[in-house]
Amino acid sequence: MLEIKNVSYYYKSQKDKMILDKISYKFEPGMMYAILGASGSGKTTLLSLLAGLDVPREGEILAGGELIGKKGLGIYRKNMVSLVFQNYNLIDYLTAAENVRLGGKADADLLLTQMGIDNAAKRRNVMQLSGGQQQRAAIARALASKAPILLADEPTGNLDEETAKDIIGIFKDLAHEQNKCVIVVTHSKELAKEADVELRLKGGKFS
Amino acid sequence: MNIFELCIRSVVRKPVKSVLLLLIVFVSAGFIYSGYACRSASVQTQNKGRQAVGASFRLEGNEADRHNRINKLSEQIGEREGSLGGFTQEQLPNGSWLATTDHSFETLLMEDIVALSKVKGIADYNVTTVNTVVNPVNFKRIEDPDVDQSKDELGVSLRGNRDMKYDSDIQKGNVEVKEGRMIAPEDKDVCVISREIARANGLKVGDELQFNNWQERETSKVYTARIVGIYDTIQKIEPYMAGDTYRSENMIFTDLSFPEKPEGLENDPLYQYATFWVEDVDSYEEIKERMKEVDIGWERYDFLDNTGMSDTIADNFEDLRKVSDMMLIFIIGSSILILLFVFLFWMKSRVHEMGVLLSIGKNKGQILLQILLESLLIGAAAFILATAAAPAAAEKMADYLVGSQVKISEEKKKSEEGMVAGGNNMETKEEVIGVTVEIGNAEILQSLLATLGIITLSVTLSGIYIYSKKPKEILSQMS
Repeated sequence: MLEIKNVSYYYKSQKDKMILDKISYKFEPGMMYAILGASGSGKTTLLSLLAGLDVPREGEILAGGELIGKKGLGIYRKNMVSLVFQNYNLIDYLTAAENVRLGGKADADLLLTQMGIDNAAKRRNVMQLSGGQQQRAAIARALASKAPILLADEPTGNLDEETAKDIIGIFKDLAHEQNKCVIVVTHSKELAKEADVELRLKGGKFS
Repeated sequence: MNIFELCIRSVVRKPVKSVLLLLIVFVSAGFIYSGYACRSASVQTQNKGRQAVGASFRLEGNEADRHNRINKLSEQIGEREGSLGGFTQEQLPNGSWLATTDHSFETLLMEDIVALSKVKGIADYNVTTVNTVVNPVNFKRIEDPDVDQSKDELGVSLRGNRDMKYDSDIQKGNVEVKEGRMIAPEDKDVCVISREIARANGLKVGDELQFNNWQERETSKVYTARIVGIYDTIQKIEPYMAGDTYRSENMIFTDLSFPEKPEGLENDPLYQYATFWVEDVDSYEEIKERMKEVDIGWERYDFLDNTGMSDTIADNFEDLRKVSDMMLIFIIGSSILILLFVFLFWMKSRVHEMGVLLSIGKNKGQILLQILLESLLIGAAAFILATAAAPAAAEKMADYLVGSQVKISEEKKKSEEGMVAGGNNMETKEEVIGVTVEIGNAEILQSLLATLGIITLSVTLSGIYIYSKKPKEILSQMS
């Protein structure tokens, strides 16, 4: 599904400090992966590379056996991956339903219902929703694109414990029931425990 | 959700941002409108100016014809002394011949002037006499104490007008009657004197001045003219000749038939030129043709387009056009700059939104297109408002620009004081009675294109900001 081969990354201003050092891994569909690591370990950088938001200095990333930049990273982002952020990153002048419609042509109402958002909340401006509701809307938007890969960056970081559990449950369902490849970058050990595979980044490598 | 739906929601649901941009574009569009309107106003005012100051024709004696007539009369008289048709030739003791002409020979004929004045389209006319030197009987003239007066006629100059308000110096604005009134066509034996003569002699309106022939001071008949007005000069009346007789202060305006009297030639006037004002400047050429069809002895006259003032006005308003053009360039340039900063600020404040859109697979071009569409939508609304407000704004700006041009023109005139010929020059005072600004389809189209062009250019330039950033950088900025 998604494979990284000898991927290295460093900042141009600090060439001697490797953020990612020739890492390789193959992510499969129907699995939920948790990437853990201390701050500055390169978790978010790896996620950016997997999302096609940046390109590795060395190595390559393949999706379905094809280099992700072959048809353009924009097309890759649109068709292959969907992103969920810690800060939800919804468009602040749209309603929850409109935000979901922004993600793709899927039935926004249905997706929001599946995420546990009631009808009134669907029509409300997203800034008037609770943190949990916003994150559910963000996940619904990610699902609207029907992309096979779901990347999440600290998706439960701003949520209370109970809501975080719900969100983790949703991710597991997406992986196991919808056969998506779910890759979550997190500090949360609770979330990591629920993942099928736990990957730890240390010194630019998986340990 | 397509880009158009997204931009409509952004415009409507972020009212503060939209209203701010609307105001900026409204002001810019208003200025652009005014600039284009002023450019067209300058042309309209050029024509209006001609109407305001009075387009006219001027009739004066033809010098070549004068010589021909002298030669013909001289041939008719033959080689002997004699007079014929106002021409006199006499033999001097040294054997040479002296040829003289009287007023009847030199003057413009009143019947011809009246015939021309009756042409359809002529609003009014004036006749001006030659400057006539006479002796001041009961008052003192103004003299320069440092000048030797032994070769001077020791007189004053009279200038008769049918209607003083049409006198060239009045029209030019050099002479203003501050006390009393000007001389009207029905006046007889009246005069308007300079402030200096009035002050030197303690004269006031209603007093009477006496004049007689300067060559026969003691014996010639004295004629009286009542003072009806006292004038001030803004710019000295240019003297015909050297000497205090001809100096500006000693110029006395009279009714048309007065100057010939103290000269001893009553009923033998010498009219130097006549001026005919047209009713409608747009019919100027038609009236001219009609006048030329009048059956008078045209060989005796020069018939001139008296458009000196129109040309001057035209020059000034060509300057106004240049000012309008420069102003437009300045407005468009500063609008681009202002909007560029506004959009740059706008882009920076929308980094979050851009990051979200990038993360869901929108490309930078689509994001820029959305911002451009939003800007054009707001710009269109601002333009409609500016169209409603444009006539008033444009008129204010045109008034201001015209006022500035007139002021510059007056200052220029003052700086040239003393260098400008006066007497027969029919240039008139540069006076603008108003400016008409009309905003037609051409101005609307030009302003619309300029406004939309400015918005597009500003958005495109500020879009460099988006294109210079990697998606990851935008996303890291948003978090």
